[in-house]
Amino acid sequence: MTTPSPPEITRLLQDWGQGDQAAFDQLLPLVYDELRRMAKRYMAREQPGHTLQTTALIHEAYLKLADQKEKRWQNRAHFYAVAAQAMRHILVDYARSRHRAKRGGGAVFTSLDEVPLVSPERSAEVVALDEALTALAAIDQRKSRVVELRFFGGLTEEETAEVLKVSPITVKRDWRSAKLWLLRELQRGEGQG
Amino acid sequence: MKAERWQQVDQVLQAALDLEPGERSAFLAEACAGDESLRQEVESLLALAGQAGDFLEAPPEDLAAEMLAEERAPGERAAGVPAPQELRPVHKQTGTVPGSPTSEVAAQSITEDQAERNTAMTNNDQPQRVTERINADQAPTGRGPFVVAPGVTLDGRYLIEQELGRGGVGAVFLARDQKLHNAPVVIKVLLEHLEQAEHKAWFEKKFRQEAEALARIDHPGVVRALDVGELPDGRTYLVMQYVSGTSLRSALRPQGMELERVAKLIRQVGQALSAAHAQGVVHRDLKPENIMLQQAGDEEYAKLIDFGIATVLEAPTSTEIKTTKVAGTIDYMAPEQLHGKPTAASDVYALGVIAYEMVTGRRPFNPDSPYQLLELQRAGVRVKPCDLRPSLPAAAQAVILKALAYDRRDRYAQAKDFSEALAQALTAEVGHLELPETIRVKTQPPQRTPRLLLLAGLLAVAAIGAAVWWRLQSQIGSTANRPQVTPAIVPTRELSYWLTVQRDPKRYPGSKPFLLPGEILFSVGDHVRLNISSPQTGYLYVINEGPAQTNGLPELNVLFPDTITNGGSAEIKADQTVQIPRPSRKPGQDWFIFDQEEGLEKIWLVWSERNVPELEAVKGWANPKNEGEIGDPGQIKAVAEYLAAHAVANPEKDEMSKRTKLKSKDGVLVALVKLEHH
Repeated sequence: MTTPSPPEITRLLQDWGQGDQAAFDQLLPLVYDELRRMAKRYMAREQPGHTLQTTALIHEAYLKLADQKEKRWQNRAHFYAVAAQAMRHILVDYARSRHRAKRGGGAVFTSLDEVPLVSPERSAEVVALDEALTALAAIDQRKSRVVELRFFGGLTEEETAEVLKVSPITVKRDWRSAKLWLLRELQRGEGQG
Repeated sequence: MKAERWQQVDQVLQAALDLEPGERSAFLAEACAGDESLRQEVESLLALAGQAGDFLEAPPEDLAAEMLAEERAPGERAAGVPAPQELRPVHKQTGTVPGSPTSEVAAQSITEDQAERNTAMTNNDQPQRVTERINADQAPTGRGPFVVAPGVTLDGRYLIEQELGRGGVGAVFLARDQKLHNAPVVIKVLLEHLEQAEHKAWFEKKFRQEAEALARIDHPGVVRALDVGELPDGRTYLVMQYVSGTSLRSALRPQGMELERVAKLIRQVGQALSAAHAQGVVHRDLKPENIMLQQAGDEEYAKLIDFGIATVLEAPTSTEIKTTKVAGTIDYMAPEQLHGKPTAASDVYALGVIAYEMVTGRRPFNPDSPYQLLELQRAGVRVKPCDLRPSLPAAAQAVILKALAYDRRDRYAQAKDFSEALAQALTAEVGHLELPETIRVKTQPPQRTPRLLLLAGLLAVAAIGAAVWWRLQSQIGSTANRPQVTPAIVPTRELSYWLTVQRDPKRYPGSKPFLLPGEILFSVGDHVRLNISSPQTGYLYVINEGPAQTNGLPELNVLFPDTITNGGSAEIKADQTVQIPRPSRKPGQDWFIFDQEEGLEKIWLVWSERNVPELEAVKGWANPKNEGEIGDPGQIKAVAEYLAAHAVANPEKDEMSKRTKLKSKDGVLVALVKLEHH
């Protein structure tokens, strides 16, 4: 597994920015791998218990992968957009595995030192959110993307607007109604339980 | 639901969200006439508006932390590194993001609050138990790096309590010296995993050298190095005195500090710096945050902390990383340091910037990037300290400007020369002004009187300003509204605003007001106050725009000037802070309090070099009877047209000073502040 060179990443980002969807498909596994690699490296040097922000991780991946001479912030926004999707995959896969373990494993013995930082409930929430987002994408692709970019990628309104080629005000409006839609979807899920 | 149906729902939903909550049901009845299921659909979503506040607003960080904890399978663990579970601290750490390029290297500066928290930590028996299990002395010394973390004891003596911060190269910890009555100490260590392995040896050597040099500095104004040790994996660590107190940052005032106090503090800092320089130690990261103020009896003492050992500044990293890492701190950096070559003269420059800020409340340059800062530095200081604080002795200004010389050879040779000269100039009585002999301006003979010198400086600046002005005029091609103020001194106008926010005291009892640079989404019961200031003298108007009335014109309310504050005048002085709503003795009167579930308050800020006739005409409505509401449709139209004609300046949020700043070369700055609540 080799790390792609920054100029290659930059070229793919530019291609995607200009509408080449295939470039995005090539970028995704590269960024996905790098995020996982970095996650491992983090654990080698950080003590757990620190709150690590997904956005900080993505930012570091960007510094590592992207061409530092490249100053266009649009490319950065596009990189974050790819990373947002990769991060969503990583987190949801992980949450799914935890959620299953909890459901299937019965009572889990935990000592004080092993109390998980995240409750199984939180994992379940993430899985449910992922499913709701997929359902939203079926009827409103753009709003689903807005949530993915903002929530999983930590993009600002302006950056989200740049990636989706819409105005920031559209992003703002998409965000507020998507949140209501998702909230209702999640609450319905709870009710059916 | 089909996509088409959702589009329909979304459209009505959006329109309803734009309305005040009270107006929605009438709107829905009309918009969904004949389509009952559409109305129900929208209503079921609208009903959740109150709950949607925090939903999805925070990134999923706790999950990421756990995921990463498990990413590291047991088999992959390097030798000598305890398993994550063994090191997991009982106290959840908060604060800076570890290892992130955006996290700043925290200084040893610890507020009293933190100190209290730290004491509370020691009283908990939990960390002690962990310590027994992973004492550094018993840890295997394999090839792998040794992890310094809370609970670990170094050399059987220093119990690590808390990580204070880390940068790209080093980390800083708070620890207890168990051999000395558990006295708090600060420990610095190079990170175990330096990105560039080839630089690692160099860093290690440099770190050790500087640690030893620092230990030799014997000066009350410099944080004391207490011990140098070695981790089981061979890395050096440095033990330093823990300095309590408050930082100089908290003593800075927008209007400048008392000059006598500036003289005292600068003199102390200059002497301390010179003591460090004499031992070959350059601070490299001098800023108000790294100057601690301690009180002993009636006297105030300054102490330098956080010497640039193991900070990111030395790291041979890319420019992009540098920009991010030192965000908020480049303002104090000398040109040669921005080029990566810090010297003792760079510390003199930084002290010059600090002195400028102490006397004026502002920094000489407010750049967006290191590149822009270099440009500004090369052009020289445009806004002279006396422009901002006319009472400042001219000699003091000359001393500060000399410390800020672009070429380091034109600055003072020693930090203490600068601080001594400045302290004398600040405390000298008027009439006994004497230029320090070290002052020299290249093209001028050194014997000139300060007044002449200053005049020469002004003329030079005026020449630059005139060129800029001419260019602007030729671009605009208009002579209308030509500002009366000479553009020579201040080519860029600035307006800044910030919010004072108090969360709903009923829902958050005991919560204190805090500052924000810009708008957030507010909730019912939140209290907000708007603060506005400009470094230039000018005219300020603040107008609140409400929803459109039946005649199609918006409802406009004049918030400033009013008939009570500021003598009813729109003219504000440089750095005067205007508070909206105006200060009031009646509780609650000096806040905007959101009392409706959802809505948007639009507040227009207009700053102009000259008074604005359209706005002067309406300020009379700000009387107690009309409460600011403009009652004349013709005047509303004129104001609305004026606002529409002046594009809103591009705002930039400055997280450091917690202000939103607008800059322009025009004589008019217009901002639209939106206070959205739901």
